[in-house]
Amino acid sequence: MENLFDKAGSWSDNLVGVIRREFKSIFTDSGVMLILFGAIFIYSTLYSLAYHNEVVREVPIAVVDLNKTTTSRQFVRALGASPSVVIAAEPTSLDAAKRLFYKREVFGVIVIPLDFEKKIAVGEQARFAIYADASYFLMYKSLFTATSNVMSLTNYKIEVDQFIKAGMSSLQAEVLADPVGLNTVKLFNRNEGYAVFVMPAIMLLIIQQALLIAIGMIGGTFRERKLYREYRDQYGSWYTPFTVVFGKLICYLTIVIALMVIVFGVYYKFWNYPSLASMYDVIVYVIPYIISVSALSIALSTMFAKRENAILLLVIWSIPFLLLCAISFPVEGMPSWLYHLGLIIPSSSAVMGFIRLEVMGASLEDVNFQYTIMWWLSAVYVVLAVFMMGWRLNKSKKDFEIN
Amino acid sequence: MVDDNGMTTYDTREAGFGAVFFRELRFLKRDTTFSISIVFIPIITMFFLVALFYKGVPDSMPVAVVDLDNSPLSRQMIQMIDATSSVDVAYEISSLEEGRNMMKKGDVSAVVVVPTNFQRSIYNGDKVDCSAFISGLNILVGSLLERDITTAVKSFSAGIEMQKLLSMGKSSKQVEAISMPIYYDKHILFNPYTSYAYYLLPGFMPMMILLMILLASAYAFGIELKERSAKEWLSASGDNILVATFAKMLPYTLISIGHLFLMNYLMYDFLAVPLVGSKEMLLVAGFVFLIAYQMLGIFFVAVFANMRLAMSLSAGYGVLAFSFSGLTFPFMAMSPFVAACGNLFPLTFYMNVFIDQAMRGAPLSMSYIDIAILLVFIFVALLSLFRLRTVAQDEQFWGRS
Repeated sequence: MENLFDKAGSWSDNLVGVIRREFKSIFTDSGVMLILFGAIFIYSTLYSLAYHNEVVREVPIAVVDLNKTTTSRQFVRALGASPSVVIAAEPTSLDAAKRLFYKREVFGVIVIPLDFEKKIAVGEQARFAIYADASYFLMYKSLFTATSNVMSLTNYKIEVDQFIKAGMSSLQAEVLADPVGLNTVKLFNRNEGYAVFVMPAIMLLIIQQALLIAIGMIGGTFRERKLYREYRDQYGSWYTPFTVVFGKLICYLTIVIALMVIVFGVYYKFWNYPSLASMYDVIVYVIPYIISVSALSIALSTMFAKRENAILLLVIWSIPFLLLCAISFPVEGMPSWLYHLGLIIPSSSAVMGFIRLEVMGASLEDVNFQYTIMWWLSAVYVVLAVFMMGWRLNKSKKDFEIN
Repeated sequence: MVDDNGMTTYDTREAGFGAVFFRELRFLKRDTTFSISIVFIPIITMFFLVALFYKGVPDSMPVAVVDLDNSPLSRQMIQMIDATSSVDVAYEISSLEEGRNMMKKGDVSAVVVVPTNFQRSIYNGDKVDCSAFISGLNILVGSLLERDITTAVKSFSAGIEMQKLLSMGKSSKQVEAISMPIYYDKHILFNPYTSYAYYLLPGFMPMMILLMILLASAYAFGIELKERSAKEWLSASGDNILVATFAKMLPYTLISIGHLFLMNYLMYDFLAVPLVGSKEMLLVAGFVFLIAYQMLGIFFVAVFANMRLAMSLSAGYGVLAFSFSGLTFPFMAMSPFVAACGNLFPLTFYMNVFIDQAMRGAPLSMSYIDIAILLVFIFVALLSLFRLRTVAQDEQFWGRS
């Protein structure tokens, strides 16, 4: 019985040893500190600045009005009144408009033909031309939405006028002109802010990349400086790989949870991002995320021979990982094998659930699918981390015995 | 000759461009993790991007309908909505509340509600309104769904109007003009397929190249300081910092040029991203762009004289380039100060050339200025070589990381 207590006692001593060693590795290494603590604040500030305006409005366009009649002017005025576009120039020819276009002074051109009013008057369809540039997508979208809305409204007015002239009551005319209407209501993120849905994803991704690189850097440093041999107790027997992994996980859980409290409790409020999830939900949600990311990082960190290898090998993946979160480009556009393969990266599930928690006010139950995946990943990666750590400790042990 | 520290010293006859170049190749052969990753990681990630954007346009996004009328006409309209490319009417549910919950679960991105008496109102000549509740969570998904649902309902409505006009005795040609007095001819000048592949891919692909060359450059130059071999490197060149730098850069430049050709092949040949302007100009810009990033990696090493710090800063600087290139979120919508920050990244100017040449077919003169600015980056980085020479010779800067 006493023996068992002894064992438990020495195990917890070892665990404390690992935790203390890890904290020391972090807080005495300016490189690790910069990545683990600096990155999240530096990046999120810069991204917040970049996307602060959030919505693309007042896209400058040029209108070439060849018709110059009351009808065409009315149409142009209605277009100018739309918040999405602003008429920056009214050149006299399409060529002149194109020049403005290449200079990036305007991002779209509308040409109203010479016979615009006449055609409407004789009851023929009058066609105007939109020259749009879909290489900047958000601007293309603004221009297009504005023009179609103004066109629908103008059509409706013209039709109603014509029907009234033909002898209908105004009510009859209005119904006939548009028998089935559509009210579009945006739910959640109503003004379609760009930062609103990008930021939660970026925050979680930064945490993932910071952990991957910081833990990898510590792993590389341990190899470089032969520090793995510090994982021994006072009698010289080596810690078990489980103890090492468990100790590291406790350490990173503590640090990242503290970071999350600051980021979502203080920082998020400062920038006025919607955070509909309670702090409790956020923490409960991110626990398996931190475990799976940290465990994956620990597993990878055993393979780095130099501290800089982590930066070299892992930074570039932040972009594929961001894309796998399906925020820039939805799941329905990806090949399904790639989407499913992508689920092995913790951020893929984590982000998909997290933006719904924060922006839609979804409950933990609503994101159960993602939450479950993260726990599975945690289990798999912890096993992998223990296995890899065992391999690394064995190698260090042999290396130590030879010297 | 090998000195006490294990460093080779070169005498003046051996020293020169070739000596540095082959010395670098030997280093690449020794550090296989490094050499394999700088060659293959960009290739793997570029293939990943191609696979991801292969389809180009998201389609069949799940939508729920609440059909309170359940009549032939309501079903016809729902079918028209379903038939659009972006919508897949996947669920028939009984209330909006249920739809909201499905949105929160991530099952649907929009809910269409058809009111009771839908069909009767149409026959009676009363106005009837449907509703579409669209999740604004993802701007792209939301705008595609809004566009397609609106189009479908509008054409359904126009169809009803046409039938009524026909029943009033109008000819079908008259009917068309009456129901749509004005209409547009859409000319999408650039990116005419409005494919997301053609819009996001050209931004992400060069990111892979620039991140790798920037980090590889900081790594290769930084490690000379960290491993105290900087003096040996310099002596291999005959103590000429320009020769030392260019000869050391060359293997990485060649690798990156390979990546550049692969990128262009994948984009313009394999995925057939339109390239209406000058392919040569695009290649020249690509070359200057990758040299600029390579030089900036050296710049960070020279200025901070610390491999790890130079790499951390390169990583941060490299990753930020995308958001500040104005491609996804345009400069126009950023505050002037932030938009000006975009000028700090060579990627911005390469993207300008890409948009002008590949997408727009703008006159070549539009691209000269961008290339000139890329050259300015190179020039500024070249100035840091003075400091690099000092750092490489002064022992106090060695061994830090």
